[in-house]
Amino acid sequence: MAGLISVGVSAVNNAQLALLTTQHNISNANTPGFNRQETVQATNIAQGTGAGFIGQGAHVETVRRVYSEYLGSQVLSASTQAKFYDSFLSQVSQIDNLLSDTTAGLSPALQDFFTAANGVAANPTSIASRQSLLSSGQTLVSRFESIHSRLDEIRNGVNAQLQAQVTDINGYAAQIASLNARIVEAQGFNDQPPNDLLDQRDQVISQLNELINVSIGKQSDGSYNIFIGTGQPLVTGLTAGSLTLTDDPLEQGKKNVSFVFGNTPVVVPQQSLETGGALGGLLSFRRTSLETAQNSLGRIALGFAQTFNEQHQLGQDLNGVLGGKFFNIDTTTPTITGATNNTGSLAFTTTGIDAGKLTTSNYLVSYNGATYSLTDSVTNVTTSGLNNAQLLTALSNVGLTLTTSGTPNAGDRFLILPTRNGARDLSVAITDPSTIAAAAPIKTAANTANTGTASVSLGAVDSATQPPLNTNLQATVTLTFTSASAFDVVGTGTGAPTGVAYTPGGNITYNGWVIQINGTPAAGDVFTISANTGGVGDNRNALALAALQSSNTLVNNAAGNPTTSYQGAYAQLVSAIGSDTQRVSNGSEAQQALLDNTVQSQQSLSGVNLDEEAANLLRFQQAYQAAARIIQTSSTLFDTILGIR
Amino acid sequence: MRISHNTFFDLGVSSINNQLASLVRTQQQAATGRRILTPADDPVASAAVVELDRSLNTANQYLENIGNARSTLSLEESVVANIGRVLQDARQTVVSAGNAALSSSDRATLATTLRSNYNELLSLANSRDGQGNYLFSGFASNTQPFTQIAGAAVYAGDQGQRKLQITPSRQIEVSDSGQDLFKAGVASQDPFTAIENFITALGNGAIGSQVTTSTGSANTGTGSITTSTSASATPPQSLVTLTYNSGATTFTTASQDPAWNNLTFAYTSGQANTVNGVTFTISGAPNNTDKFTINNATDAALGGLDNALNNALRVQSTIGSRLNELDSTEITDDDAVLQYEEALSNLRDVDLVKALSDLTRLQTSLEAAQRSFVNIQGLSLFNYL
Repeated sequence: MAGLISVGVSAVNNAQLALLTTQHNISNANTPGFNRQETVQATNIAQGTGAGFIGQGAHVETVRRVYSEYLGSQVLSASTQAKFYDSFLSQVSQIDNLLSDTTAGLSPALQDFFTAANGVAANPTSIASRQSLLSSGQTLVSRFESIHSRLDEIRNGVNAQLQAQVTDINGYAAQIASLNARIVEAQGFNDQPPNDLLDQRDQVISQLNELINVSIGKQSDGSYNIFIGTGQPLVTGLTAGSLTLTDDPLEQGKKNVSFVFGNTPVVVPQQSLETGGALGGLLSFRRTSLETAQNSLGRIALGFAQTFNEQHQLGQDLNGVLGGKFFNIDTTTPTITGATNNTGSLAFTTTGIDAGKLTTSNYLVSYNGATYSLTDSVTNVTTSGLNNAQLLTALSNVGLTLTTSGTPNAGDRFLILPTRNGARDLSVAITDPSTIAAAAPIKTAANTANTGTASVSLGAVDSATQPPLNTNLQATVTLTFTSASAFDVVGTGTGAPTGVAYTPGGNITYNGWVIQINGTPAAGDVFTISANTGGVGDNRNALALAALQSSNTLVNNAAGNPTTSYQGAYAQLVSAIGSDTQRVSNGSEAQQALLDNTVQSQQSLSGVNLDEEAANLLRFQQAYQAAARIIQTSSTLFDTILGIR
Repeated sequence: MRISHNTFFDLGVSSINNQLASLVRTQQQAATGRRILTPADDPVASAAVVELDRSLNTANQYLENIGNARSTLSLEESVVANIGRVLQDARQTVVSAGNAALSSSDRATLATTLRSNYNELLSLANSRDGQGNYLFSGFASNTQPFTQIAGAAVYAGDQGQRKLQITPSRQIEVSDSGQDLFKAGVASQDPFTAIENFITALGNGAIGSQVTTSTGSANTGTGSITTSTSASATPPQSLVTLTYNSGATTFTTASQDPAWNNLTFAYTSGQANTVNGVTFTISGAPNNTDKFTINNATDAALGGLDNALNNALRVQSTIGSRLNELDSTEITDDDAVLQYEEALSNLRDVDLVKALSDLTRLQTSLEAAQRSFVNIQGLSLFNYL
């Protein structure tokens, strides 16, 4: 009889526990990270009698959470990737949108500038058209500057977001450590799994994992160790480590994610953090797309200013003075910084830029005590064992003419950003419209008494002559034909050669100019090349300046010839950022779909289905009622016994 | 498959979200008329758009340059046509002056007419464009090209020719130098000298007996020539050229007029020689092959004016052919602009019919997703407990 009651009571208890668990499931249906729980019942040990084993009812062994470690880890890995792409996408979309704006982009400003240059070619004496070239030059420079500063804002935004994420990561690490402690304690108490604490910890880990890709080490006491990057222990048992941002020793304004060992922050290899998470997405974006965008823009700006200046300096202005620089390129371009911990005195000075050779890479120079090595940031190729002259040659091959002073010490490092700030550092050098060099500095004339039929071209400054110009460029030179096939040259700087063979239409070059003579000259015919005095209506240099818009001036090929125009280089930038955005957007969609799938599988197993819980509610209610009936029956039975008199 | 309560809501919301995103995108495409909203939509086409945009801009610039070139050349053409007219007028006056019956007052009238022709020619040669730049001074467009100095018009410009870019490979000349047009200082080409000399001759008496001389423009020596004629003199019928031979120290003549052809004179500075009543004196230090000419005044003036007229016509015809070239180039450039615009539109613009039909389709499926979500979420076992 007593057995009957105790079986009934345990059945009531079991049903009550099951009902409690169901109620817990229903009330946590919307709790993030909650895994549904169920009671695990088992039969009590049967009582052996001569009549065989008599069942003794059931008991609840444990409350178990329905959880698959395999599915859990799949969700973790899918979510860290999805967040990586999301964060990359949200950054690169900003540049994508910036470049998509047809009115605020670079193209319209470049086109307006060259329209104005054509205006000067059409009306070289008109101050109004010259002023318009100056104004559109200003507009172009500020357009470069505004795109650059927008990119700089994005770069600073990355720092701010990194800071916020590092704070969150440290918070999560502390939570995990404290949950570890409570789990270890709870588990030690009765050796039953503390389901809700485990859920909570899994939830915090998944939030941490969305920020930074983590790997988990499980300990026998139930605590988790969390590692990041190349194995930095963010959480060890009950202790939480922390991350912090440190200034890059080479690049001003760049923040690196560092792990605090003891009290000393040590930089985590940044690329090891790019394996996932929102933080990884930011770092990867900063290293690739942002660098490409800013360097490409800078290359267009620098290349444009440099080539335009070079042509402008081949001309002569309205006052008859040789052309100066049209644009000022700040002396801090390219930006060369020594590491803050350098001990040597080596310093670089920029003396020239070759527009066509410029790349979009950054360069790291390091000195090991005997030789230099040079690392390209884009290709990651390092050239080692360079002496000073070889280093300078290597840098001149990427468009930078530098000189060095002082001596380096072993371990000294320098970062060269050739084009990063190119778009920031331009200004219009000219304020007086009359100093725009629309004319060529020389003119040619055929003697009026010439009897032959030969004619002379208008002449041009030899395009192979870069500034500084030949000092004798404007010296008066006469070519006197001694026969129909030869001429004598007289003039300062020519060396006065005699009997020079005449080829109709061939280039004749002295003192940095080039002319052609066509037709048949007669003996005694004289042609004169002289300074273009009073040539205010000359537009030869303006034509050459205007033609730069369609000329290939940038991105030299292997043979050393430029392959694209300013706008062509801009098109490459647009295409590169467009491709990046497209790639990341596709990646984001794919990872999101994968994440949705794994979450569905996981939820399919562990999520709460309210219909199911409703059915369980009915089931356990009936079980409870049935168990209560057992007690009632045994009570009736007991009464029956008691009623025997 | 077991579906959790949360999955059902998540799936419903995310499918509605996705549908809405596509709908908004299509709506934006339709509203802006652009297929490519950001470079990421089609990186390759976006880059091509930037390049095409530049080509289009350049082609439009060429069209503008053609317009500029046409207006400059048209102005020049009208001035050169006027120059031709003045030269014709002067030529007629010279021809009419040959009439032996003219009185000295008639000649004075003719001289006045020629003087006005001279001045008109000078003012045309110093024409300016709308911006105040001289048309015929080459590059030196602020320098007055022709100045009258002792009867001759001296050219102060240069031989520069301004050009404008009208195709990627063609720069067309939009100006001509005054030197090319007027051949200032070139014997028997310079209209100013021809008219000036004839005016002088008119003042000297009957034209029939007048001669004019010139010194070869290629002369390197310092020799000069003077002449005097008696009333009964017979001037040469056509141009006589005297060439100095320093070896023999002689002058030899060459002329279509047999009376003046192939005569040789020993040269002594300042010594007078007389042929058919025309006395000429050469003095100074001529060099070998230095040349002097003697001609009757009418022939000399007509020769100079005819050559000048030919020069003007030559320049006028090159201007004409340049204007023709502008017209034909304009057609090509116009075509290029059209092609670029079409290519741009193909790359960049949305197919509106498709966009609108997509819009309707997406709208329908969004509505379906919303309606079915609302219907299904109402189903619960709890409703029956």
